[in-house]
Formats: sequence, structure tokens, C-alpha cells
Amino acid sequence: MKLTESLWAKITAVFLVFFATVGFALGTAGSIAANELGLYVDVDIPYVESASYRNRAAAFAGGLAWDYYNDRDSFARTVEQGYSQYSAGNTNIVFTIRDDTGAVCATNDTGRAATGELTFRFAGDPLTHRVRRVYDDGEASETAPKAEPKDTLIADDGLSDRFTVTVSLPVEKTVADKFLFEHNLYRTINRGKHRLLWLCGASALTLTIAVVFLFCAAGHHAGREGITLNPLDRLPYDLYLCLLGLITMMLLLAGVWLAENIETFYNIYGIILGVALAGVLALTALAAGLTTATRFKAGGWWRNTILWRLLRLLAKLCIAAAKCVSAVALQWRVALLVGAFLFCFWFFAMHGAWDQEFQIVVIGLGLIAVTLCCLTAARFGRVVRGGQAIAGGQIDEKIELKGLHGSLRGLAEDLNSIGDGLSIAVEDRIKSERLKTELITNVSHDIKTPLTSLINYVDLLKKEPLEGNAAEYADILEKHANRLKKLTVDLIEASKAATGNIQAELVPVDLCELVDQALAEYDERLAQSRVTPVVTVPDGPRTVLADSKLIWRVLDNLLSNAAKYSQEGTRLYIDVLDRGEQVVLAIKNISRERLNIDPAELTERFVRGDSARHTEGSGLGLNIAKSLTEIQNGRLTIEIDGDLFKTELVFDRLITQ
Amino acid sequence: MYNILIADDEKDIRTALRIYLSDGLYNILEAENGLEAAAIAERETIHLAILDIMMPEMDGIAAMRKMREKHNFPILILSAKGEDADKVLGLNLGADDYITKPFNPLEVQARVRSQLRRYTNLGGMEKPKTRLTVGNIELDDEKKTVLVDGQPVSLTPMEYNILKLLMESPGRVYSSAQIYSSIWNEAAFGSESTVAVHIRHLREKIEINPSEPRYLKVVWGQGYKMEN
Repeated sequence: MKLTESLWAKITAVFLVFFATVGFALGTAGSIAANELGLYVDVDIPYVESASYRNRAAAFAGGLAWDYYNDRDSFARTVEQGYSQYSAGNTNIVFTIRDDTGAVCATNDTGRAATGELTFRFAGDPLTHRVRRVYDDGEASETAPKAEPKDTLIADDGLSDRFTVTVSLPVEKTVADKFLFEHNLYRTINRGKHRLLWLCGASALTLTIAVVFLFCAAGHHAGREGITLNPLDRLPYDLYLCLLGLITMMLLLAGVWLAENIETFYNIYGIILGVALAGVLALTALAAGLTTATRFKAGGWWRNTILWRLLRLLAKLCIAAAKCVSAVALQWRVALLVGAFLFCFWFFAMHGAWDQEFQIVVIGLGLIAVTLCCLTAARFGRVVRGGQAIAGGQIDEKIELKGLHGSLRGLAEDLNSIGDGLSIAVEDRIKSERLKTELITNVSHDIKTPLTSLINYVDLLKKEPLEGNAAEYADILEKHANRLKKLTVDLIEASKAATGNIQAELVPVDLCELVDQALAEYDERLAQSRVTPVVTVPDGPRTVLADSKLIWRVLDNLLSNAAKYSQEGTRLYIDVLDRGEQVVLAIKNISRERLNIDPAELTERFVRGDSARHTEGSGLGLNIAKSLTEIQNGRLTIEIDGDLFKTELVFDRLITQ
Repeated sequence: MYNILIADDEKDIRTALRIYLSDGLYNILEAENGLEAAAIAERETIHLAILDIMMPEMDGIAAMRKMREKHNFPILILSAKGEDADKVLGLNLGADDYITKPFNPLEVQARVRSQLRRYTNLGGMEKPKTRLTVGNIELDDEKKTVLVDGQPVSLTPMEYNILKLLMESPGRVYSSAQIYSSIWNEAAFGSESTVAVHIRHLREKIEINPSEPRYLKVVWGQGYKMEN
């Protein structure tokens, strides 16, 4: 266990601090006293020759003179009878009062051996019963303490009652009074004056070591990591310091009182009380120091203060107030502000303050208000433009937040995050579509390899001599293998067309020519399906901007559908029409099967007019056609009217100059 | 006997090709990957190579580039990658033809034949002025004959005239009306649709795969052209 964590070490240190303080106080006070008594200069002056004794004796003689003069009749008697405080049994001092003639007026001298004889002269005023000390020239400088003001000393002004007081201290002191106490103390100090210095030094050293140790150990406790706060350390710091300050104040007051009244104690208890006071004072200071050390070590000492709590409460109140204000709808805030302004205006105007200075103030305020309005409007305009940009598809556009505050800033931030959200959504969408296309393309490639073998070996099989139904089965195999082939090709194309992975190269295309070319390709297949094409084209070319290859693929898909699904013996109408600024290529045929399906659904992937998937085809034809038309800025519409199936390709007409 | 190198990682496809091409004229050499194909091309005298693109070790494109460093024989790419971009890449890097999987066996046979004939017979032959040539198609205006890969093709007079018109300026796009007026020598008033039918018949006669013509191309919505 570390020493800093030991409780006993700490308790010992606290006691050490107390005793070291006591020792230090004693030593300091003693050595100062010894120094003032001149003990360090003159060696071994007896008490009766010290200035301390002379002062006390003079004071004693003064009191004695006063008491004697005011009660001249019975004084000597009461002293003699032992009732007075000046009687031989009640004081150590031996005194003799003589009048001018030298006759003894009163004495308590019982003939004991005494030293330190001093004589003071007094003069009394019989009218006022006041007594004054009188100095001869020779005596004045020696006996009069310098502290005594000059004006209290009166000259020999002819007061009638003159007497002298002679005091001396017997060798054997029988009464425990201040003379005995001082005599003993003096002797003690005199004897131990060098030891006092040692005590001073040693206690100062001990005190320093103990205090340093306690400061180091503050907050450390056995079995606990880091700094632990004891209950006192948990008191609010400032409150605790105030309490300690109060205690210190009281102790100091007690000290002052003690110093003033030390005279009354005349014994060792006064000194004990004094040094105990010093010790307690030191302990108070130590308590303050240690709690400060612990709190600083633990960190954040200011948090556990009443002041900090008050400040925090104030801050919370402010925040709450701000929240209340921001919770109020914007219009009410504005109304409140404008109202307050108008009220001030009205108030000053109504109360006759409509002088020039006020006008200047109003104009200044008005200018400030107008400037603020303009600035706010400009910022609002910035937010509006940002919003328009985002709404217009520039989702990467960001509103500059600099200079925006309050609701406007919130609005701008909201718009920015909407833009961010849109960006992310669009990116995700593009990414997932691209991944889908890649996946479909890769899978299709992987399918193609086994499909190649399938088709080839079916073909080879058909060339072998086959028995029974085998030839028919081989035909079925071939048909389905070819269907699979078309399906994979269509799948790639559909995914590419839908995700815009095909680039359209737009050139002038004559729809009339296109219809001729397409019909030339399809006349045989249409004849096989027993469908008769009826073509109506206007005179002259109908040119539109389209991709030559892609528009053929659209038409290819549409005509292929017509050939596949038309009722036998019906007519296929192909018209090229003008419709305002647009050219329409319309294809109409009669469906073989009932078409109970929504036209919009037909352009979805894998949807076909017949739910049973018997005929060849992938179900992707119309989807591809629609996507490819849109890539070329055209429009493909499908209408179903009973069995009439009608598709229209609509393109903007290109007017050739 | 011509040596034909077939490189494909799929054994069944190699076997199928071997069956289709084994008519006594060709000696078939097989390779499993591009590395092997390049090694065989170094070792043997090859007259034609059919390469798959997606093969382990070395792909068909890399093998082709390696072969093209030293050899001049025709190379056919036979690949499942059927995008336009893939075809353009293959043809630009030195392939003579590009066939997509799944393939039509007859088309492969025809293309192999065509390429070999061109490689062995037609190279550097001097042409009389009355003879028009576009790719493998020759038109002799004196004899009024048309040869495709050296084989005579019989055309109707109208088809012949249309072909001659188109071959005279390869690459130029003629609209149906233009073709009609120059062949029939009269203005086309709605009769130009007959041109389209003639062209389709013509295409069926001179093209190996009429739905993916190599020479006589339809420019949809504009007209027709011969392409070299």
C-alpha cells in the first residue's frame, strides 16, 4: 500500500500539522517576547530588573495610589486586616505609602526579603479626588514609560496632597498573581530562549513536510483508483470555502479578544488558549487547502460550486426562453417585433419627445430596419433560387449557408438535405440499373454458350436418319432452342434500351420510305400469316429525326407482333399521317386472341396478349419498342378496342428547308 | 486441303464445327485456349482460324493479335458477345469476319468458304475496267454476269441494274425514288415500293445471311447502299 493512501499516515500528518503549528506559534511568540525583553542581548537579567516588571509595577502603583487616595481613612486598616486586594495575603507586591514628611501612611510589608524596589511619587487633588503621578527630573526619564502620553503627566502644580509609593517584589512569592505568572514565564523564557528558536525551526520543518505530504495524498484512498472525493469535498466548493472563512473569522475574532484580554488570565491557560487557537486556525486553513487540492486533482472543480450551478441554471433558462421564442410561429415573432417598434414610436411621439434628436433616432432606426429587410429579402431570394434549382433537377446545387440565420437557415438546410437525398437516390438508381444490365448481359452470354451447342446438335440430329416420332421431336427441340435464342437476344436488348445504354444517332428518316422497306421485308411473313397489308402514305416524304437502325428495330417488333398475333384473313393497316407538327405511323390489326389486358401493361417486360405462352416470342417486343422509341425522342402509344390492336409511333416532323 | 484452326474452350462447340467443316476439303486443328491456338499457328501452316473471344489462359483477341504479328490468314471470330461494340473491336483488331453465337452452321460454312477463296484465289487479281468489285461481289458489265465468291449468281434484269447502280458508287445512299427513276427512267409516283421488294430479292441472292447483310445494306427510312 502506498503511503499516500494510508489513513493512519494522514491522521498522523494532521496531528503533526496541529502540533507543529502549536509549536511554531509557541516558539515564535516566545522568541519574539524574549527578543523584546532583550534576553538575546543581555545575558540573565533578573525579572525585577526587566522593563516588563517596571511597567507592571508602575501600573500597580498607579492603581494603588488611586485606591488609597479615594479611601484614605480606611485603606491602611483594611490592608492591615487582610480584607483588601493589596493585603499581604492577596498580592505578591510589597508596598509602602509615605506622605511628604516620610511618615508611613499604609503598608503591607511584613518584613520579607524583597528585591526590585521602585518608588513612585503621586499628587492628589482633594476637591476632585484625582491622583496624578509626579515625576522629578531625575526619575521621569527612567521610570516613565515612553508610551505614556505627556499630557497625562502633570507638573507639580501645587496640589496639596503629596505622597510616595514604594513597591518591591519579595523573593518568596506566595500569591498566584500576574507578578508570579510573569516572573515564572520570564524565567521560563529566559531559560529556554535558545530552545524556543530550535522549536521554531523544527516545527516549521515538520509543518512543511506534513502539509506537503497531505497535499500530495489528498484525494487518494486505499483500494480506489484515482482521486476520490470525500463527503466534505462533495460540498459545493464556494459554500465550503465560505464556511471555513467564517470559522477563520470567528477564530481570528477570538484571537483578537484573547490578545486584548490576555492580561486577565495571568496564567498558562491564556497561552494554551492562544496556541490552541493558532492550531485550530492552521487546521482550518489545512482543510481549505486539502479540499482545494483534491478538487483540482479530480478536475472540473468549478462544476461543484453554487456559482456555477446558478450560472448553468441561468443558461438553461436562457436556452428555454430562446426555445419558447423559436417555437412561436415566425409571423407572430415578426408581428411582435414590428408591434414593439411601433409602440416605442407611438410612446415617444405621444409623450412629447418629438424633437429633433428623436427624429434622428427614428430615421436611424428606420434605416436600420429597411437595411435589415433588404438583406433578409436578398437572402430569401438566394434560398428561393436554390429551391428552384433543386426543383429544376440540379440536385447537386447547394444553397450557400453563409449569412443565413434562424428560420431561413433551417429552410436552406432542409432544401440542401432534400437535394442530397435526391442525389443519393438518383445515384443509387443509376447504379442499380447499370448493375442489372451488366448482370443480364453476363448471364445472357453464359446462356449463349450451351445454347450454341444445343442448336448445333439438334441440327446435326435432324440430319441423322430418325425413326418413328424422333424427327418430330427433333423439330420441337429446334423450335424451342431457337425461341430460347431469341429470348436471350431480346433480354439484352430490353435491358439496354430500358436503362438508356443505347446511344441514338439521330438522322433524317423518311417514314414513308421506311414503311416501304419494312413491308418489303415482311410481305412473305404476312402472306404466310394470311394477313393483307393496306398502306396509306401521304404524297412526298414525311421526314423525322430518328436513328435509322433503332427505328427499324421498333417497326420490326411491331410488324412481327402483327404477323404473329393477327387473325388470319384480316387486313393490316399501316398509315403515315400528319398530326399538327407531328408525324404518326399507325399500325392496326385484328387480334386472333381476345385482348383483355390493359394497354399500359403490354409494354411492361414479359407481358403478352395471351397469358398462355405458346407462340414464339419473348414478351419483350413491345417493351423494347417503347424504350427504343423514347430513346429517339418519339412516343409509342397502344390502344385496344375490342379485338382491334392499334399502335402509334409519334415523332416530331422535321421541316426541311 | 486447307488447315483450319478452331479455338474454343467448349469441346462440344469445337466438335460441332469439326463436323460441319469436314467435307473433305479441310483439315481441322483444335485448340482449347488462346495460348494453344497461338502455339499451333506458330507450328503449322494455317489457312484460316476460327477464334472464340472468351477463353481461359489467353483470350481470342490477344491470340489474334499475336497471330497477326506474323500471319496474314483470315481470322473469323465466333463469339457469344454480340454487341456492336464487340464486333467493331474485333474487326478493328484484325478479324476478317465476326459471327455471333448461337450461330447458323450454314452461315459458318459459307463464310469460311468465302474467306478461303478470297485468301487463296482473289488476292491481287487484276481487274478489267468493265468489272465492278465490292468485297466478294464482282459484276462484269460486258458479260452481264455477277460472281459472288467466284460463284455465278443469276439475277433478273431489274436486280442486275439496281446492283450495278449501287456498285458504281459504293457507300452512297440511294432512296427508292432515286433508284426507281434511274432504273425505270420514269418518275416514281408511289411505285417505289416495288424497289424495296427487288432489293430484298437481290439481297437474298448475294448475301450469305440476308437478315444481316454484309454488302447490300438497308438504310432504314432513307434508302439503300453498297458497302465495301
